[in-house]
Amino acid sequence: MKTSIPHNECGSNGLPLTPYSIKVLGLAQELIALKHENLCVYIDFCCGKHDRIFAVTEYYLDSIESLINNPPALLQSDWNKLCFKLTYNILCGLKYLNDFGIIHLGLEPRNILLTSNKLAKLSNYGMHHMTDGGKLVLFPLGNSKYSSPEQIISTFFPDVGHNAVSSKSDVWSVAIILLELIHKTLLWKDEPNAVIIANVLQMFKFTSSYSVLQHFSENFKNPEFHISPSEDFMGLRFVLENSLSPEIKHRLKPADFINHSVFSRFSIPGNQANGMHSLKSYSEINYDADVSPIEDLNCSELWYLWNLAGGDMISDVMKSVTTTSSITKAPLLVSSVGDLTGLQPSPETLFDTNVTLLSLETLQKRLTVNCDNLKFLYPLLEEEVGDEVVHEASKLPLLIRENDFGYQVYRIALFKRLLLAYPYLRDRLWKEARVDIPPFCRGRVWAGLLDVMGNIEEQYLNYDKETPVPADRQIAVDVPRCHQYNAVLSSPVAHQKLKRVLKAWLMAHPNLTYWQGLDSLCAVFVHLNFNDEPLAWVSLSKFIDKYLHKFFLKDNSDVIQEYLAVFSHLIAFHDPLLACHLNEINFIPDLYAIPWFLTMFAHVFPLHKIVHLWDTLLLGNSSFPLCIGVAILQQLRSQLLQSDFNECILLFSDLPEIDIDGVVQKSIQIFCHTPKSSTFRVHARKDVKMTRESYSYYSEDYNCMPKNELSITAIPLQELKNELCCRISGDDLIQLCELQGTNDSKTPAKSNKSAKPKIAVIDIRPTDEFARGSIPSSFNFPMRGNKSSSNFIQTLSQQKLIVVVGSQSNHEDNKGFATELLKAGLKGVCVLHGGIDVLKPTGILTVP
Amino acid sequence: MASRAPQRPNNASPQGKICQFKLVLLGESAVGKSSLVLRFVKGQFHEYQESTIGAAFLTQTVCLQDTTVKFEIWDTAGQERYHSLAPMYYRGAQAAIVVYDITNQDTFARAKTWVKELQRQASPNIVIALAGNKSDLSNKRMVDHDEAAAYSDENGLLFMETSAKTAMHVNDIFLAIAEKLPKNDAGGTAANRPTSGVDITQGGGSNPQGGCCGRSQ
Repeated sequence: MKTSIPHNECGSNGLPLTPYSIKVLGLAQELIALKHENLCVYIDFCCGKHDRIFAVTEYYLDSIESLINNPPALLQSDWNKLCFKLTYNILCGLKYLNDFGIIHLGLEPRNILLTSNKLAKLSNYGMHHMTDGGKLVLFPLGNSKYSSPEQIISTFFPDVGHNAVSSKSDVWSVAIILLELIHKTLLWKDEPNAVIIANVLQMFKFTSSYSVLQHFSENFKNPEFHISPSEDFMGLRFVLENSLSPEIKHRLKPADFINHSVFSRFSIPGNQANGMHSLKSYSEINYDADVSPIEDLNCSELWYLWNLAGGDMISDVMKSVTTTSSITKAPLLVSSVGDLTGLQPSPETLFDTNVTLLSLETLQKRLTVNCDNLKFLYPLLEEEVGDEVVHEASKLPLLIRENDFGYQVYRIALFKRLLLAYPYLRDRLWKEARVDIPPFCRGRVWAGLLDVMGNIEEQYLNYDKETPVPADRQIAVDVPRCHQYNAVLSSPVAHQKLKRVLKAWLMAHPNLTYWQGLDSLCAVFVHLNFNDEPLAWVSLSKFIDKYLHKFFLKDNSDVIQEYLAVFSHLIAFHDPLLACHLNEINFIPDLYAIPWFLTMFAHVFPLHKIVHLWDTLLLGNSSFPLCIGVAILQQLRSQLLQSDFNECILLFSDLPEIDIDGVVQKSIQIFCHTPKSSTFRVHARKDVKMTRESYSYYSEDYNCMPKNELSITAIPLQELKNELCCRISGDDLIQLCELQGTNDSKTPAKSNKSAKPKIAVIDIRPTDEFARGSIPSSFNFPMRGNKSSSNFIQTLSQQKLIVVVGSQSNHEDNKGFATELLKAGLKGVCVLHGGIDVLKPTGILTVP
Repeated sequence: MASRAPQRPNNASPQGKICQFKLVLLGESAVGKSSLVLRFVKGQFHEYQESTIGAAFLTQTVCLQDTTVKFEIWDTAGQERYHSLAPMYYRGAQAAIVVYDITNQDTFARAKTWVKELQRQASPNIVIALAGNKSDLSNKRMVDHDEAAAYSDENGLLFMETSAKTAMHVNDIFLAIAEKLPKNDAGGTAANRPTSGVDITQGGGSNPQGGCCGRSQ
């Protein structure tokens, strides 16, 4: 199907008008969410060249038109029964659409498709909705023959009766179709459109549905209206009489019909056959039987895989479309002001009702079950399969994996099951997400990683998203410039969605406010869950709770200052050379890193990079973003080291291309080599109820862990900012040095011998104090009277972690010493928080 | 990094004096601050210029008869919440452009408060220019040209209506500022200013926090 949309250059506000195709695309997205047994689902919409929109939909070869043309040999009573059932199907579909505020206005026998069980499914019902009632396209909507008189008027004389069309106009069309069904003939088959329009408009002269009905019956070539006073016949009669009145108020709405007693026998819920069979496992499957995994896939999965398998819908469609040569498209006359005259209407600007069938053959072939792929097509969850199920593609780079058909089939099947089992199999979900997240399921997987639970639809519904709030102006100017390079996000529908989600978030968090940047964050979730606003909203909320705790307070200065101070410490810890250089030129994180962290990089990178970054970010704790920041700096390291202040700030004002995969890998490395207590922040989220067991050392938050006297305590902001090196807590040190037994519950899940960092503990107290008791295997390097020699530095340079220990009262000395080591270019320097004194009660100090 | 900035067409003798000035852009959000800078520095215009968070920094060099003026431009975030960041950027600035949107009266009122704040808190010799941006949308004008011009006269501001979209008066306003800036006193020359960064000193100034992001006003 295709439709072509005019494309205006410029609007009255000076900005280019949103191309109509983009508007249509945005509206069309909402159609994808519609699911009903009497509707063919819209699977996807694509925009091709020349603003052509292609709709991908569910399709059946049979339609009511073919039924009318080739009626099966049935008894009249059975035929009536079928007609009545189909009418009910159509009305059900219409009512469902009405519930979403959508009217069809394009009903005709050929777009009411029939399944093999003779279930009617409406198709092409989205035209009126996605073209904003026809305003966004050049061609008239609907087929005149089935149009109600008021629809004809509103189409051709929009000034007169634009608001006249309603769900009752569809009811008129239903009646015409029903008449055709009853008579098994198509009305006015060969009449030109003008005659048909005149015929329809004539209906205005009638006053009652009865006379209209009479008139129509005369129009059929064999006006045999079989009088067999059965129940079905009475029902049909009822429908016709209540839908063919020229006066709208005398017609019933689809919902009225369905609730009426004539249809009461249908209202018993039908048999829901496809409940359980989707969960197959291998024991039930007979290898040789004709089982095709295709049957387990829903339309959107099919479509996703069809594309991965190399399908190219647009070129398939264009093969069957003849294009007009450009010479015939030239106007006869062009005036000096640019008016065109004598332009032939070209079929390309019109709606093309042709349907191109997309072949599933390739997909079928590639999804054939055999012994090798069985475990990928039907992955098992409960058995400890562990590392046995390894797809051959799993070692390839991420981008290749994401485009590998077989691998995605496996990942989608696996995550689909994990999501069905959520939250029961949450641990497994985390584990698999660490491998990678299939783009097809990303929105729901993220929600799972963010611990989304409960009836979010209802919560979301209950927040007021309409009442004006002070942030409205800011939201209104920010939303239309947020990630606008993305076609879907630049549509008006997306703008409304963003606004609604933002407003609902503000309502749900009365203590927080809208800061510029929140729009960028929100856009990521709205884009990912475009047809699921509640999920976008709840994911955003959870995300902010975890990673941006207190960032959106009205007064967030302390929160951000602390965050940036910790960030500076991390830079110093991992890249002392760079840190010293940046300090020297006064290039502080306040100047460049606020947009990074305030939006978790959503303001910095395009969407396709953000999703990959966040795939990993979501698996880390609330300090992980700091590591990403360090990783980005490291990637630009050589440039930064050579630059002065101006060049540095220019570099960040216009960030060069960043290799996100590299950043992700690097940030994981950095994260693993950072003592957890070093990222302690007073303002991080603490009050987390431990609703789940932690999955690993890495996803756990230091701030959420139980505290003891060895833990880091709040450090005044000013002090924190003045320190160059980070601190390490007593408990972290004990753990990392394995000074105690390993029966501690906080033992890192992945701590093994190879992962154990090389640690040097330097005790800078005077020798006599050191001799009285010190940390095992620490060495004494009295601060006073000693100058750190290059030899000494050399021996330390192999260490991953250098902990400076002194007495608490001489913290200035400890700091100074650590800074000196830092300036000498040593990595991993930190100071023991609270000095040696905190370890005294633990009994681990020994006499050397 | 000078290669980043395309040479202005009015290229003068390279032997002339080089002056370096810090310039800050202030104004309500979405009036076109970033667009003005982008037009001036790169000659580009993006319809959907993304919002600025914190601040952005760009440089551009213009040549007058005998001097080369290098602007270090700080483009600030417009949202009121980021207000407390602003002093960090305008402190020590020799020039400021306060921008409003001619199609929106509120942004003009906001521009006036920015001018007041600069007069009160920025360095006393700061050259302030008022830019009525989006002049290509004159059919939707809400701020009278003469009213803004009169206000500028009263307050000793340079004034131009600009359009980042059509480039109208964009270079002119920067050139006018360059002309008006003193080229011989100590403040202007690069040699006398070892650090060209922002003033991040804590305390001392009229805004003690000077840090980042919001303090409730």
